[in-house]
Amino acid sequence: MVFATDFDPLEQPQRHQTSDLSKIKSATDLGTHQTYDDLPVATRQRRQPSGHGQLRKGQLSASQTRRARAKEAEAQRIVTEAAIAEFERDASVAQQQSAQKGNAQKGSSVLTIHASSSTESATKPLSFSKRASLPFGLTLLNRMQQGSAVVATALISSALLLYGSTVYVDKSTSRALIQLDALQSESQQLTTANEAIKQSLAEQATLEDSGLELYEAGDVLFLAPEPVREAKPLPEETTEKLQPLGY
Amino acid sequence: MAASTDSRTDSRTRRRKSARRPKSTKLNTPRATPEAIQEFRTKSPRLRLISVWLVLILGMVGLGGRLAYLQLMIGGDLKLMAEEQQAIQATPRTSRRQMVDRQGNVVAMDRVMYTLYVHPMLFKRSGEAIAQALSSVLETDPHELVEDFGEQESGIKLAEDISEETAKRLRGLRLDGLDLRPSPQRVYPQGELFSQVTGYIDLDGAPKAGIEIELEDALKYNEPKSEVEALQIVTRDDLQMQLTIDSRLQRIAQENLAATVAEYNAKRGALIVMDSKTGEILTLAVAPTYDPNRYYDAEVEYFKNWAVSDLYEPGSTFKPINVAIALENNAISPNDTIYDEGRIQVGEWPIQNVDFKYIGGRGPISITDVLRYSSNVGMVHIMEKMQRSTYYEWLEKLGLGNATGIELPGEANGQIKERDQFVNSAVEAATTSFGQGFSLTPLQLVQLHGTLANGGMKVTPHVVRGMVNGEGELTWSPERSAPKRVFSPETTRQVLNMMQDVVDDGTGSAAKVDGYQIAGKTGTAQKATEYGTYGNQRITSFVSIAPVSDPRYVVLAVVDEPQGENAYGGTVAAPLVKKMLESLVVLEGVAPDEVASGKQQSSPAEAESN
Repeated sequence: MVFATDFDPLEQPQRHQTSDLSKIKSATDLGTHQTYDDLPVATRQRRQPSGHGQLRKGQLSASQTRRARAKEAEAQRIVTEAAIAEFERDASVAQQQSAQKGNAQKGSSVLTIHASSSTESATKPLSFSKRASLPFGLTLLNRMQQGSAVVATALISSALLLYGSTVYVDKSTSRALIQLDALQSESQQLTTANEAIKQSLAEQATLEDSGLELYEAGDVLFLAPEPVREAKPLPEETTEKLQPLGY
Repeated sequence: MAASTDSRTDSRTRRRKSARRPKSTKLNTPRATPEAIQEFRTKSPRLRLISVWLVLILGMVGLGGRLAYLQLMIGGDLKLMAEEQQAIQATPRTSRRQMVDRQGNVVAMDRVMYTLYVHPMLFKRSGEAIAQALSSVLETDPHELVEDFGEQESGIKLAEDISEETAKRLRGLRLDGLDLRPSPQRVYPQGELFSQVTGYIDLDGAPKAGIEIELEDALKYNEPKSEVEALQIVTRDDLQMQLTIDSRLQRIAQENLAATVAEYNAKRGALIVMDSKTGEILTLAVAPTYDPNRYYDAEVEYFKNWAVSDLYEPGSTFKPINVAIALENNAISPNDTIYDEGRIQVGEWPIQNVDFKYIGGRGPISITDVLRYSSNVGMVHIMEKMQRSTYYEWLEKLGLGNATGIELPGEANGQIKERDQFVNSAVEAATTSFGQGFSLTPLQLVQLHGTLANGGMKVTPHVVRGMVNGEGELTWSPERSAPKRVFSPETTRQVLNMMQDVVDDGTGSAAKVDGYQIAGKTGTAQKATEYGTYGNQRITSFVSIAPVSDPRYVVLAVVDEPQGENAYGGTVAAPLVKKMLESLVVLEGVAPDEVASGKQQSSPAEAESN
């Protein structure tokens, strides 16, 4: 199969050789044990300039090769007749006509190229003014497929992110909770110890041999604050300029 | 191919070659000729396609079926398993908020305690080995442990109240079959100092007595719902309930009260200090008391705070209130004279002064002297000048017969006679005038004297300041009724001056404190026996207001049934109040009365520094 967008007639000459080589390889791989030498000469010749995109894609079945060969024989006949008839016409006119004619008919355009390139010795570079375009429905579907591919990628990545985040959040929460538990335990133990120390100190203080006494009324001094004095002005500093002493 | 075989075996095996040819086409050549293979492949790509599609479809159906099975059939079980695995089990360390005193010292807190269960069916080692290991940590006899293991297969409770450190050591033993269950337990670090205020929590976790039961809703954390238990523990607040009680004063009060009660072999005693400006109770010491950490060792009657829930007849300590009522009512004026016969007859009841036997009647005395000598007859004459119905209204206005509204449970309402009985009988008003014939709680007496101290406002005494957060800000305080005005400031000032003479020169002279002017009143009331008559047991009390120049604190000491000859309010209770006042003025920074002028006190200090 070839996708219509992939087909670029301008590049056909390069593709011919590669497709041939691959096709020949595939033909041998099929176990037909037919080498290139076994093929009839006519086929060999015919195969070389072939522009069929479908042959480029690799392995063919036996029936397909036969069909291709039959098609080629037919095409060759037609082409030689047409080439002789149209040879007088300008090559560019022929190109334009072929371009304007049904572009979907890739077979026919190929054949026309085939004709001009096989009959002419000096081939002019061909340029198409317009590329082959598809019906609107297919383009739309194509665009939709691309868009949905993007959306699918985005959704999948976000789903993975979410999943990862749930696992991560759970793990970090449990770690934090373990830390909190440890801190709470520590705080409880510290408070208990602190209060126990205070209690034992107080109990020791009330014992007779502690050297501590109960408060008495004169134990605290009450001082009345002095009234606020106004700030004394600082004496101005008189900087004496020393006379330069010379010795 | 045929050509090559021919050339090789030509001479020898011609016959064999020919015989073999039909076989050789089957054996020596591959099973399928290239053409056959091509034929198959070109003929039925559809078959291959369909088979691939079938495989894929079968895979998808299989996966879909497995998904349906996992989600629909065993989805619930798997969810439970996942939750069990994921949910972090938070140890329940606290179930109640802490209580702190006025300075922030912790009075009541939760601590996690573990209970050790063993399941012998999960033991990987022998029972004796495990018993040996456990006995070294738990310090019990290994043989007993082995016996215990034989009781059941699982769920044997071995030890309770295991502390966190011991639990860590037990876990470090790494034995299978041990199960440590945590639970929070209430601990009171101050021991029996605050027991009458906080109450206690029993072994089942239910609060009994005190603020624990009264304000349980404010103290208890909300129960975490089962699903997000651990996270809810994170959201718990760190509020503490702050009490108004000062633990230093409480400790001094408790020590001295216990000493006095022991010295006079009294049945019980109470020492209350209240800040009359706000109604905050700084000290609520009760003897005898109990240790809430070991409440099961105490007598049941100690759990009740008798300063709040027991009624008694106040006796002479109520006289200043009566004088204030009379003054406020303009029934008397401060410079009036009252004739004191020493003994009178009201109806069929004789009423006499306490010291009538020694001194007899005193004759005309001032109102101040009535208080100074605590003359019952004088008081009867003072209150006679008021209408009994007005007098009764005043008693109701002061709240006699009702509770004060403190946040302690079991507060008793005072008892006064019915209005008709009071109004119609002269003896009721007479006995009420010297503080007998009705009853109230010691706390209510403190509240009433608070009205004299703060210039005539009846405040609600309370022990709970409210809930404070980590920064010390008050976030909640219990609802209290607003202070009510009952007396005018002039009346209270006059009564206070009279009360000051009681301490300076009267029955309350044992409570004198150097440098301070103290106002007070002794009270020695006879207790009614169970037969309704007055026996020879007394209840002695002394109430004091300090300092007179700027009255603020009310101190009441009550000692119930002190034994001995010299057991009066002035001898038993007044010295107790003096000790309390001395510490109070130091710790609360109450300036002595001379320093109001500012000069005398500071000059010695200046002289010393110079």
